[in-house]
Amino acid sequence: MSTPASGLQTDSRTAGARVAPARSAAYDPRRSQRRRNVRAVGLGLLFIAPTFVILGYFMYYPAYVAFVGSLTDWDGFNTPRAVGLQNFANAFRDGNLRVAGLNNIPWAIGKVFLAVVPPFLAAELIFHVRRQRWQYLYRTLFVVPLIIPGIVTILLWTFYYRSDGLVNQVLGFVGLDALQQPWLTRPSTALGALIFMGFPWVTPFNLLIFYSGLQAIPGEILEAGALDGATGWRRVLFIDLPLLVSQTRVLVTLAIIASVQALLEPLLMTGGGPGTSTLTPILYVYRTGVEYGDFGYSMSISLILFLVVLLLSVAANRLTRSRKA
Amino acid sequence: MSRHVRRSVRTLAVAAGMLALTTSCLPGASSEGGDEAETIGAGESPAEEWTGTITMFAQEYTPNAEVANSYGLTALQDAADGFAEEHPGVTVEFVDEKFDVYTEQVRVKAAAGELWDVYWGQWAALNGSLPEGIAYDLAPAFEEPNPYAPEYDTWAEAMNPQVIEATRAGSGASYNINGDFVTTGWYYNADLFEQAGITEPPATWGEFVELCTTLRDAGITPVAFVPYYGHMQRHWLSDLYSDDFEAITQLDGAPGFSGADEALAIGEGILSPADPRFLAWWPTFKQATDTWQPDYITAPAERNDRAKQDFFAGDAAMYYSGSQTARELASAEVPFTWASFPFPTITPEDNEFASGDDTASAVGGPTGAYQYAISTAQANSTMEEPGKAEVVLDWLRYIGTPETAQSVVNETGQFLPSFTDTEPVEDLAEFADIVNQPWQSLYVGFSAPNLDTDLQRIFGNYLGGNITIEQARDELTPLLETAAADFRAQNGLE
Repeated sequence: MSTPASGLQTDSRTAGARVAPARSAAYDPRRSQRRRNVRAVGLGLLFIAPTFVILGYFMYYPAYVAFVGSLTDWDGFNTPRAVGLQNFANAFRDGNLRVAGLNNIPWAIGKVFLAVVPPFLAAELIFHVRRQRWQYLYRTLFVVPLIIPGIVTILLWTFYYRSDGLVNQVLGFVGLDALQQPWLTRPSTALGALIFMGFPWVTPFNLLIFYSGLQAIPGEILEAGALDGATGWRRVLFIDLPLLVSQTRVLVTLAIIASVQALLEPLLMTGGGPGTSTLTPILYVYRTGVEYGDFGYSMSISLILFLVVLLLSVAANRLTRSRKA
Repeated sequence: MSRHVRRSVRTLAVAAGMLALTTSCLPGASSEGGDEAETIGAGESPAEEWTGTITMFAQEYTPNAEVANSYGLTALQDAADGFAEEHPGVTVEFVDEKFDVYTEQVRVKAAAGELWDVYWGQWAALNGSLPEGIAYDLAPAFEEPNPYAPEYDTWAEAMNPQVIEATRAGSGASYNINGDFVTTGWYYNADLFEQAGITEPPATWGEFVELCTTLRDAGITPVAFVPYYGHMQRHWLSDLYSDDFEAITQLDGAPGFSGADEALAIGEGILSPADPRFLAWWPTFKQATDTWQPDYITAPAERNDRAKQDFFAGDAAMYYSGSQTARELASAEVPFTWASFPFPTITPEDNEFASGDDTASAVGGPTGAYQYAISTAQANSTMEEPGKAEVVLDWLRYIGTPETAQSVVNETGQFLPSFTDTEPVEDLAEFADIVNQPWQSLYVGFSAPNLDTDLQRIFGNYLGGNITIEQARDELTPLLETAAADFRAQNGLE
């Protein structure tokens, strides 16, 4: 029985071997697979091509134009003339830009702090509310301001900071009359007033990020932690914070980017003043380009800002990554 | 050549190609440069071949407007209808829009080649802050007769030759027709004055300071106003430098005060902190601003919109503005009695350098709304259509007559018509002669686009008590010297 069986097997292999050369002339499975892969990749590229085209045209092309423009004296209207690196040299000698950059340091530190700490604390408080319904209510209350346009908040706070505004009224009400002052017209208070506007500083988006991060912490970890005594503040410090590092990293990076791009607050509330005390680099970019018509110089400052943001973002990521490790 | 080097060379070549391509793609790159003003009208007669629609932004005089104004004006539309009758196939369309950042909008539209055919443009902006080449130089056309005003030998005579001279660019170019005058002054809440026991508006600066103090002591905010350096300096410098006005305006060898005069005067240490008069008025001025609503003292000039709201709401006793405010107050139906008085005279008792001249008219002047320029083909691609520029110029000639200007300007009653032989509305009759008086206004701000903002910043900081006059001087000196030196270098004035 074995012989016929093996013979059958042999026959079968022989038959296969006989057919194979005939098929190889017309059909190569590897080439066919390659063709299928190419077709699949091509189809995929075709589908995402519009996204890349739009992204390229509206995001990368302007950046490229800005780079080229930064090497010219373009006034926004007439033919640009190449000036080499002159704009960059001027930027490094520009006293106003230096002041704007220095103003951006406390601005960035303050904004990063406000972007992380108050939303994190609010998220913790909401997360620890026992009833789900109350959690939902508090979450909604904190998130509803998201629908209020930022410009409205800015205009409101402009009124709050007036010498007869809400801030001074509250200070008077609690007996701190000595602290009353026109907040936006003193160089010593104007920058701080801009940084700390928006009390209670619970950014809805950041709150939701932290809240969803807390929800994602596995119950087993919390239970194990509780057995080891990690409850209350210990839990926040030794379980929640380490497990929210990736969320924190994202929010810190976004806050750094936003702080370097802080335009509306100084533009609408102080115009960069008094003096240059609230002048930010991006407001200076706006001024030199749109108001003074020196687009070439404006673009060169934009490029420097881009590099600064890139460096800061990388540094922030490195910092939070090492903490995680 | 190694493969690596070949690849590097190829990469560099591609990058250079892309750089050149992109440079050529920057808006405006393909157009002619604006080194010399493009002229229109020299020896050209109105062309009848072109037909189509002329677009015009007429600012406050926009007829049938719902946005630009809400006065229901018709005079300019009547003119457009008359022009259309005489030019079959040509219509005029008015742009009914309101712009908060007009200069920026004009710049952006021009960069895209989409500026309107005829647009509102202040002479100072056209001579300075707006890019060169954005408007045709009308000077040659001014020297020719206007067929719609045949009683005058030249178009310039039908307008106001004095205004034309005062508003020319340093190159001698005239970029707009200039048909109305603004008067400025202090508008006040008479009820609050009465409440503080004030019966007469002040005539001198000393009286004005006293008035502010009296109001403050009565618990009333005397003034809500951003002390705009661009305006305030004109009252003060025009007085303090009145003996040298003629000499300063002659520095560039042409009549009228120009950017070239300014740059040269700064260079010679006249309009500069090196001259004791230049900053002498700041402490005198601060005596008044120390009593004003503090939130506006260091603010940028654009914040005056909010200051105006304070005044209109009755929260402040005074507000400084142009003659258009009378109409706005009437339209707003403010719940108080209001009146106005001119900028007070500065006497030698107020300031040791004061001449006592009346400089109330130094601010305003030929800066109203009947200020129209024509787009170049670079700013408006449709102007390349054969014959269009000539027809658009013809439209400007049509409305550039005393008769039309008077009817359009007087329809709003906000400004004084300034063309030859025109009369203002009855309410402004007392100011009628202002347009024919020598317009003596001295100021700094032409030399560089950033000067206006930076001067305001330093001025506000000083008035707010944040810096001393010495610190202000230290900031001003390099700012002015750099701006003037750049201007002189760019315009071959060295």
